[in-house]
Amino acid sequence: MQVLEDLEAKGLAELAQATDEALLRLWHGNWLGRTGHVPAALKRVAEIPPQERKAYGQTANRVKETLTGAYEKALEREREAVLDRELQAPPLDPTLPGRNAPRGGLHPSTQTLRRILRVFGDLGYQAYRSREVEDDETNFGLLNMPPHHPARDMWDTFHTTTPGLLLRTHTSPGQIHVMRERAPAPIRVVLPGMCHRYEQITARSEIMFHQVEGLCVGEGITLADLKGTLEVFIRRMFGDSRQMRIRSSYFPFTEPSIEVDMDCMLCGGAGCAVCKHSGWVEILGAGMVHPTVLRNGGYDPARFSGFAFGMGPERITMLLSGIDDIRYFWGNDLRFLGQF
Amino acid sequence: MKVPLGWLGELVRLPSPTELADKLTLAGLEVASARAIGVDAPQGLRIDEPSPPWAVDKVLVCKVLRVDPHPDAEKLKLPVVDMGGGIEKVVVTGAPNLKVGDSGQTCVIGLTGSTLLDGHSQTKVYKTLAPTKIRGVLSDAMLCSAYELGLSDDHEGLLFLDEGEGKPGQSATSVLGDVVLEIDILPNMARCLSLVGIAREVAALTGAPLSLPEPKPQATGPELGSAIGVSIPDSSLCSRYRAIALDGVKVGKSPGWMRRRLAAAGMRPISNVVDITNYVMLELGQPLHAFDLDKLEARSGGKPIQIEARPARAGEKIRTLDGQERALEAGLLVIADSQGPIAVAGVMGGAETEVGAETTRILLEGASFDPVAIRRGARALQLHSEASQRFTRGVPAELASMGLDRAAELLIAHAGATLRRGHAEVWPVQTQPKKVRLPHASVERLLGVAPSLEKIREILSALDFLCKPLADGEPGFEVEVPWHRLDIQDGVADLVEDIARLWGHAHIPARLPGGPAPASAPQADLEFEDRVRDTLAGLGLREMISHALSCPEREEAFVGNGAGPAVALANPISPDRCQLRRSLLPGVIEATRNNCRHAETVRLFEVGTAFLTDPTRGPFPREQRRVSLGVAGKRTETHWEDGEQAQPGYIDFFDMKGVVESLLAGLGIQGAKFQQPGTPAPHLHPGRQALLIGPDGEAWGSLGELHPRLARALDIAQPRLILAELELAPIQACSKEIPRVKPVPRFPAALRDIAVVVDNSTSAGELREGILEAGGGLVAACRLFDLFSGKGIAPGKKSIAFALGYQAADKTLSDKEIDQAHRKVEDHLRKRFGAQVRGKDDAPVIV
Repeated sequence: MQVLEDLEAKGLAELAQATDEALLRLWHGNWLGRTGHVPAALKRVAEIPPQERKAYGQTANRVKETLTGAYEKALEREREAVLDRELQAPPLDPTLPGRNAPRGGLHPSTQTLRRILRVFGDLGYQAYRSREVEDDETNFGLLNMPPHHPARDMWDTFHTTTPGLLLRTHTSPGQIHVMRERAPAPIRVVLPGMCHRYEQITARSEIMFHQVEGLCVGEGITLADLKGTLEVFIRRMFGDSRQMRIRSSYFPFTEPSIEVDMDCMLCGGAGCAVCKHSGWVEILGAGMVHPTVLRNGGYDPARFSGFAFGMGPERITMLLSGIDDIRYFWGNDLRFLGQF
Repeated sequence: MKVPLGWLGELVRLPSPTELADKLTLAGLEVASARAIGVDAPQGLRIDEPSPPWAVDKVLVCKVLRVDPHPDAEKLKLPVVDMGGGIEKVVVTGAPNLKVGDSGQTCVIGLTGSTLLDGHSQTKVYKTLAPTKIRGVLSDAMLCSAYELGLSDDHEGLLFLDEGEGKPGQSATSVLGDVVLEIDILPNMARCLSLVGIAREVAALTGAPLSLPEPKPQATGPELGSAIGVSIPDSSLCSRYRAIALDGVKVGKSPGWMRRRLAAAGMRPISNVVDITNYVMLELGQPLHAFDLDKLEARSGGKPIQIEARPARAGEKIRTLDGQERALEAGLLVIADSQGPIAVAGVMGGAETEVGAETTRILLEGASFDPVAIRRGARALQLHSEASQRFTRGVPAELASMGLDRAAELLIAHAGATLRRGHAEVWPVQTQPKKVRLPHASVERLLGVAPSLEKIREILSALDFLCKPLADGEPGFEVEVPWHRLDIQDGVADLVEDIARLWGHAHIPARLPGGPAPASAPQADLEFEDRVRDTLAGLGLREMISHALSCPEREEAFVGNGAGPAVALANPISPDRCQLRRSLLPGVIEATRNNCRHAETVRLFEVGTAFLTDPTRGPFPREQRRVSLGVAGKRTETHWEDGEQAQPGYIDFFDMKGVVESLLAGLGIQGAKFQQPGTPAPHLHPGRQALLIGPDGEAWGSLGELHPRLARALDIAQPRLILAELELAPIQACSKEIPRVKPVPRFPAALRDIAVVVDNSTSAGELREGILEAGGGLVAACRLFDLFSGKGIAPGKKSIAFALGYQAADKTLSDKEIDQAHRKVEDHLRKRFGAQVRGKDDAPVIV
């Protein structure tokens, strides 16, 4: 029995020497592991005379329990001590720079385009793309601008060396494509895309820009529907408190034609350089699809009516983000793009 | 169009300038800006050339009583002026148009404290007058030039008012003050290129009555008879030509009020005859042209003058008013007499029959020309005049006689002319007024709501439309279109536009379209492109967009020989933007290079169109959508913990490959391969590039390092610029947005490494495929973790090591099963690639 008592004392003494978790685990392997001292002592019960066996077994089990308990306690104490040390370490300087994680992102025009398409998507409009190199007929003629029509002066055009082929000056030719494809079914589409104009590149004008055209054709479509649609768009895009104003205007492919202004976000209507001191900024042009255009698209204007509208995502981005130079958009300077 | 409100106010009573501008703007006559002359600038408008108003008690009308000599200076004079109320004042002036001994001129005087333009400064500067001594004579006021008042650029002398314009002591503002509105005239509003046209709109908008000029010139000269004949061979080019003649014309200055109105409207005053034709054009919208009748007669050599509006004949020439000799393209509309062209119709007159100082007899032309013909003429001669601007937008034939009458009246009054009786005229087709059936329901059909019939009649009548109830009893009107509305094209829609415009869009309710909505899913390719963009942005790349216009030099290296010619522009803005791009790479390279100047790491992509010609597909180019990527610089930005030694490396081919692999994974694409191209792409480093091949064997694009020679030519500082350009359509065809899910493995994977020595020509991809093939489905993971050649490895060989994960879907593999599978893999590599399995097949190593 004394052997067991000694074993216990020795075990506890060695346990006391184990000063970290690794040593504790080593001790555990030596003493309580499969081939450790304690299991070995327990196995020796067979060598003990039968009358002492019971007492031996009891004692051996008690030693095992004692050592196991002591080990668990010591382990727990050690873990606590480690945690304490961890918690008491001097705090780091949170103002030191973080490790760089590359941040990608979308071009501001893409972001604005998506916001526009999302609003109209919610209103049931499908995004539809048509070609960028157009023919004169679709870009002008079928949109109620026969050759020599004075309204053609509203668009300075890049012509290609193939006669009659040009870079579209607006997304409106998409109206013809989608109408001819779908007539006589009702239409609700938005036509996003790149347009080109023969201009000098300055802070205010570019030779290339996005446009989003909208087209709604069906029976019983009215100017009131257009007004409501645009009101929803402006509130969703620019905020609930925005005011909208409609001016009469002119586009060859709509009649009546309107221009839609919004109260200036910058000066709140008081007048500033952005709104040319009027308190209003132009957001988009729109109107009821001209009967000739409906007819060219395959819809009988006596039965069908429709509205169309068009806007420029770059211009809208400039208003929203306070950009004063349109050349930033295709300049691709990361110091600009990275701000979006 | 610049509209002086003093002038407009004579035709219709006006509200305040701000209110007027507001009403006009909402009705489609957008007021772009305003200019204030001597008065306060109107609120809520952009102001051109802002200027302080004239003080009403300091800038006054006065009358010269006498002019005394200056005691000390020969150039200076001392006019004594009547200030009204019996007050006289002596001032000092050096003006050349006032001489010692003069009297009776009406001038404008500025007193101490008034702020006027400084006539002595080279630039436009305002100065507040203070008393000074000029050569010993006290000066506390000055007589003003038109420049000092801001009326014109004329500072050659004092501004003299005409007899009866203002009384001494009256404020200058009350005589000369005005506000000028700059109105943008839309193409369908050509009728408003005249004061009368705008006045009609104002009357309709405000309800104020119109008082339009009703010219009734007294013809007191001899009968014109057959002295002048007119003919129009093609009435589609000229619908009306009318001419009158005036004798006894004294060419001189036109009255001050007329000159001031012309100047305010943006036209330079010239002489009474020219000014009057311009005045009538601005007032009524009818361009007129005056010929010197004596010169015309001289050309005809005593025979009656035969005027013809006809297309120019081949080889004809004319010297125009600006002195230029111009060859006339055959077919251009000209006015000619028996000797040939005397004017380019509606564009510019000829120099030979020009009205000059010596002219005493004139022939005055009032005509209506075909807008397209005039547009062609103006284009051909590069001459865009006020007249051609009006003719190209349409001048109604009915206006010709009214314009001539008004001009005759003014010439009689202000040029001492005598009007000869009769006129010469051709007006082949007098059109009947257009009639439009406008049922009440048609208004609501377009607007969604309609004003009452009474309101509609009120609105249309205010615009001179004649409304009669419909004969068949349907509510609505038969509307007769007035002659001055050439824009009414498609009847109903045009009228509805006018109704909405004048009623006010505020009356129109806001609704949303009803009825079943068509399908609203975007086109699949648009959605796919958005997935590409989102995936790349998520991988840390920034989207860019570059110009679609390029030039051959820029593209040369980036389009293969197979590419057809580019779509070229007939009218490029500059040589470097003369064709549509066939590759996005030049733009991506340029942006990458530019950004490398200020950023450590640059990762860019663009989704855009390459325009490829393909004659087999008709005239339109193929608009191929692509994604192009450019990365360069440090792999990550330097971090303080990395220390000096552990700087991050530079981006290389494998960074780009990783991006492309992640992009494909993000798009749900499996089975795409990277392989060495048979013929290397010329714009990439021949040894550091790859083709991306889709699962069906189609090439999707290539990636690699920009060719070092190109990099040097493009002055790229970074060690490497890595590019990729992929075509989107075939990728989209293989892309799965919604994956089919495999169960997550429930049993653990067992790891085994394998390292082999193979020939350098054996690619890692082949080995990997061989391992997977031999593994018989048990190799769930195969990761290359070491590649080594050199010391200890035979020349021409390399050591390559993979970590394999053996795993089965239905059980934990036993050691025996794993060993067996692993042996199969080893055997396969030996057999197929002649591989030496390291640690097993090594030749005895001699230490």
